[in-house]
Amino acid sequence: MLPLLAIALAQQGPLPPIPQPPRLRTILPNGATILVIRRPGAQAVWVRLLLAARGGEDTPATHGRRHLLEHLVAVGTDGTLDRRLETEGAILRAQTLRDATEIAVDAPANKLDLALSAIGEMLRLRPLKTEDVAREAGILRQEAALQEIPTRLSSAAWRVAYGDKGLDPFGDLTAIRAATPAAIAALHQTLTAGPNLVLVVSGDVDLDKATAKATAILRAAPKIERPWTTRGEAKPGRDDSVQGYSEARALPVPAYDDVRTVAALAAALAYASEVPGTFVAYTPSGRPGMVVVGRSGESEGLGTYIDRADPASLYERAQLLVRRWLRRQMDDPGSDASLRGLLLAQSTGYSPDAMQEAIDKMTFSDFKAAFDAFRGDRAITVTGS
Amino acid sequence: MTPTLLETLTPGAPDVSIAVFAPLPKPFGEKDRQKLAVAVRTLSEGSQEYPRRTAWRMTDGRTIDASLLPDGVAIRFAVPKENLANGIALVEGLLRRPLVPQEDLDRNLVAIQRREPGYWAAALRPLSNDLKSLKQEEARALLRRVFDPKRVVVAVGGDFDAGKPTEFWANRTEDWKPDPGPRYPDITPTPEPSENPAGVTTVELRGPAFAAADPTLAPKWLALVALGVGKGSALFEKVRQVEGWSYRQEAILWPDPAGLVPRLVAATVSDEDESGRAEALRKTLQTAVDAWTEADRARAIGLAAASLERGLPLGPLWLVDGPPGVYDRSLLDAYWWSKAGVRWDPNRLAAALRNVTLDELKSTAAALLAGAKPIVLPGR
Repeated sequence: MLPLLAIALAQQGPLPPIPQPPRLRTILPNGATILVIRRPGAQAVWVRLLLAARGGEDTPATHGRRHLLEHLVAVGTDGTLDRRLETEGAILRAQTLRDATEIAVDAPANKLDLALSAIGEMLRLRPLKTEDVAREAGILRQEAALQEIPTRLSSAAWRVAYGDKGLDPFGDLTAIRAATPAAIAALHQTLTAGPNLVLVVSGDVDLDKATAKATAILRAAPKIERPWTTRGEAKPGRDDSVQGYSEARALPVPAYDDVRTVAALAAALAYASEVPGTFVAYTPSGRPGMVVVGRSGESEGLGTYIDRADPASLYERAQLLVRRWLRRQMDDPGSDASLRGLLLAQSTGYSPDAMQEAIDKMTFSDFKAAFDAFRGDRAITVTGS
Repeated sequence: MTPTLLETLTPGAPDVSIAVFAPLPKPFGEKDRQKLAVAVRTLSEGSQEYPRRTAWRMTDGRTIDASLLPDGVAIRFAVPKENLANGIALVEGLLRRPLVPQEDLDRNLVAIQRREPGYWAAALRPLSNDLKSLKQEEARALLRRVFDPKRVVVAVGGDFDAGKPTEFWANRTEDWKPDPGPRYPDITPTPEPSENPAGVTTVELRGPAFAAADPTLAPKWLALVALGVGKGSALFEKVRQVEGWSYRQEAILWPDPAGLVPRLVAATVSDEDESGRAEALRKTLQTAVDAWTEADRARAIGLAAASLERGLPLGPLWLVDGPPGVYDRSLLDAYWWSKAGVRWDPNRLAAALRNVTLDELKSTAAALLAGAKPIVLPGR
């Protein structure tokens, strides 16, 4: 029987290649995570390095040190990284969030090696001098002056809810100025330990080859396990001291995949669809987080609307809006890579699919409960003038 | 008469994007500018036949984004591709019969007394508004004057049968007559700002306006990228990385009724004497330009081409709230048609940039710097 099968196979000619799945996640022995996403036909490649904040979370004494590190590391090892990338049509951006620092490189489709090489430089901090830190602290002082009102509102809401466990990722200028080169180097070592590293590659790439290239970048990182600090129970309250005419209502929420979280996000998006000029801020997190709905330029009216709004009349729209909110992030290849990387940086089991499932499960009763919470004694009110 | 409508086919796109650019009539004074700033903010409320909640169903929940630019009004929204006819009806309603609720006018009157939303946007556009009241009829009349069928340009992009948007548009607009406008239009000049309401000081070198159809657009575009777009630019490297006095600094092609205005702007905190900063900036940048090599030219071309060919929102062109990105193609089509009389063609511009020599780049940048007006606006 076997020879017959062999003849039959030979007559069929070469077997067609086995189609690759859309994504491949790999966890290295040192705890680092690699996710490669196939996007056939993509004109660009999107590479994201996430450094989880685990073990290096901000405290009042170190508040802003991760942000300072982000500035210092993002220029590369010799200060010419941006020039090298831009010459090839690639750009590098970096941002610090509460749960992770993200380095993002967008490059032409045929420049994956260049993008990965740039990411590799993020794992090697150049020797720092005191004046390097002082100069960058000066830049952060300049950055502080340009902080936008939604950021200020959101930071104030987090401070009310979580106190020192919810410090904003921007930082405190006094604490930033107090950082030493040795402290920055130690933080870099903590944040680049294997279990804190996630590398996402998205583009028209071969899953196995891209995974092998990413592995070569991350495999030397040491395996040092550190726990997350707990964020604690959120407290309600208000803050009327934000600079600039503005108002926000915020609701502390559990993890991103909890139906109460997506219901709160749906409610916020529904409010925003009714009140012109309103923004909604939510960063998906496996830890306790915050949904903020607010607006700048006006310091009254939004709260009144929220207190009087009818959930039944907004439910259908809210369902659509929250689905679109997630879909918009996942449809854009760069945003999708960032979101997946951010979630993986918190746990290798996290993915946006779990948020989608929570959205699918949301009932009117969940939505109404979120509505009630936004106007109840768990909510946080922030205003500015 | 039927105003211009441009179609751009994008096979496979799930949505149809619709954008309008309506250039300001001439003359157009400061009093009218303030009234228009208030009136435009009410356009998100929809038209008389399609108020916001109805429009919301047509757009599948997307909002109508309307902004007053220095040189005109921009409107953007998207509809699912099966709602193409509804989208055309909505844009026609917005342009000819905007709702303009009085309560929204009253609310926006208060809002514009403050400042542009966003520190950087406010720093770039340090306007002050003192308008006290605006009635619905006056606001509608002003919008009728601005939305003149002779000047307004609509662009539609998406996956549709070629010619369909034009057919829908023609059916709805053939009876549209231009508004005669006031006999004595407002000619109040816009006062030169003396301070920056954003609270940050801006240090700027501002060149004279040039036409969007200027045959030297390519070297000027590339010179601005080399001077101030990207982290390898002269502005970023010198002002931020070496001198360290600004977090945000950019080269911008700013929309202006006279064309496009090259601006080199850096924002800085407002606690020091900054009066000499603009001249110092000119000197710093000129020194950088003198030292440019083929590597600087290659960087500028690499970045500019990435922006134009892949739609990265990098500048120098500034439209509604920053450099237009891949999702702003329809607005760019409408804007460029209005400003230059041709469609926006990023591939053609990218090809022209590649032909700019190093000498041409350096001499263009030097001329931009030499001809620029130094401006320092202290923050308040």
